Amino acid sequence: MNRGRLFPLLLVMLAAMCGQAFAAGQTSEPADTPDKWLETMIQATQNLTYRGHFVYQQGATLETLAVTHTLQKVNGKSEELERIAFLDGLPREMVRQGSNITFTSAGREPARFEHESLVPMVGRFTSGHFDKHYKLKPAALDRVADRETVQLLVVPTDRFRYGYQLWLDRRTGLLLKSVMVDSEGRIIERMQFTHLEFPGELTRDELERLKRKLPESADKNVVKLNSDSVPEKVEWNWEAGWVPEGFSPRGHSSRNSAVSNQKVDTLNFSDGLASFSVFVEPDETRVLSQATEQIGSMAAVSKVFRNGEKYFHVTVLGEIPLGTAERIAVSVRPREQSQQADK
Amino acid sequence: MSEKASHNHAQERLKESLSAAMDGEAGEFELRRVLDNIGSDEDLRDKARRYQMMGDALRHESNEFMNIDLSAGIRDRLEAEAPHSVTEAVSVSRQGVLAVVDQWWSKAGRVAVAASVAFAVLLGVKNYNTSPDAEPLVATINDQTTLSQPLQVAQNGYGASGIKAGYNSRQHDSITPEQLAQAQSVADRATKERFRAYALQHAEMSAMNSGQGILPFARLTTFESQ
Repeated sequence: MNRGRLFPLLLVMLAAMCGQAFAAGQTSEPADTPDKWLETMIQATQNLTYRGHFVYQQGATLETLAVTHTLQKVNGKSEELERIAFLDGLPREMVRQGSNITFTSAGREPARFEHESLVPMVGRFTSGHFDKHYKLKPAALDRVADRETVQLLVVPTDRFRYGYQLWLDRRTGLLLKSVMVDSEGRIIERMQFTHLEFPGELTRDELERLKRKLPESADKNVVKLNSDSVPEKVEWNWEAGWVPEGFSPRGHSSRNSAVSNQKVDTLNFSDGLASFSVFVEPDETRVLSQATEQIGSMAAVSKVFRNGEKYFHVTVLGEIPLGTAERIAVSVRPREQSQQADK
Repeated sequence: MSEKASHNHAQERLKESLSAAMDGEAGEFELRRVLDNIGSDEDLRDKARRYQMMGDALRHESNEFMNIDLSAGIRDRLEAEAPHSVTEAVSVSRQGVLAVVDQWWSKAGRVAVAASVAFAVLLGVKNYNTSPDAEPLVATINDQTTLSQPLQVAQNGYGASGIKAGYNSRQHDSITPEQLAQAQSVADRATKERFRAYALQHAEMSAMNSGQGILPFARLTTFESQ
């Protein structure tokens, strides 16, 4: 894209930024560059009160979902309340109450996640590293769910991650439409709001739904996550030898395995947009299987490794290309004792 | 090799199938063919071993974590070709099962490989006495000369996929494709269950740690509908 074409687009962006003034009470930062738009997007997602319906398409499947989101003050601190419900097929819903997330699916035990504290999302895109791995281009003004949007192209600079087209609400910065594409330009998944409101306040019914006491799940399904401690300090005896540049550890946990009585170590990585998780689980089942699968938009690679007399399942799962996941999975190895001492 | 031409032809096709299976590209029919033959065909097993090692060498810097299927430690045992059979029928607690397996493992003469997209190494244990509440996933065959069926060992906290599967090294030529396929399906189910549980946790962490807002949970749709 040459400068002659870029300049009018920047004007468009500036105009869009003026739109921000309206929403100043709701979003805290003005957006004048694509990376600031992304910051605004995250803040809008977390801070605004909204309700809407959106569709999620992946391969041949198309699903309708509903979301309601608001903030509540608890002891002077703002806490997110959010509910995402699947409207098609098996009833499933996710409810977020501050740092607790409960996922309920008909016919299964609810799974509950408790965070001790949350990592602030601020500064994710303006910190200076993001643009090494993605090129951001303002593309056009568009309209989604009857709202004016600013379209951004997020183009990866290497083949280790997918590209995105994002449509952000011009007023608030909320993500209204997202298309994820692979390096060939094939669409992997698509999310798009079909209806969206910013009601100011949710109805009493909606709030009750968000605040209701959630079903207690069996103890084994409660996952305590401690995401504010520095993952590098975790005293695990393994490490991922290779992760694509730009991905850094964002969270970790150790929980009971779904398939054995072992603990599974989990390390979550993100480059700001994409993320993947590495799971390492000692294996006692002696039915050792390795699998490489593309499940929807997610790559899932499972390998069996041996360290001395012990066997481990290493699984990499995330919205990254399969080749990337494979490469990460085979790089997992025992942590060197000397390295451990260094840290 | 001194086989007849037709046999050679069959061998060639088998090798092609094996190659496809190793790459995870074999169709069900091809997979069956490999599984039917790998137990009795030394040549084919050698080839599988080499494929596996080549793959390892390509993928790995040499490190202590070794790709398990047929790499060094196991290969040595395979090559020792000492047929063992662990026939002690031990009545076991959970620890007992694992201890027995460990014990067996250390003396194991052979392992066999069921090649498939989800590569499963089925370890041979002739006879498992599981705890009384254990539910066999499939009816256990009492005929001791055949494969002991994959069992679901319903141990405390083991969940749906605490699985033992395998066959005795001595009888492993007599495994039927059906039995291997069953073992395979058990292994696949464990993999699926694992992926599902991991996917949920990944969604949760991504929701907290990446900038994707509502997307991480929407993505679970694919897992749930399977």
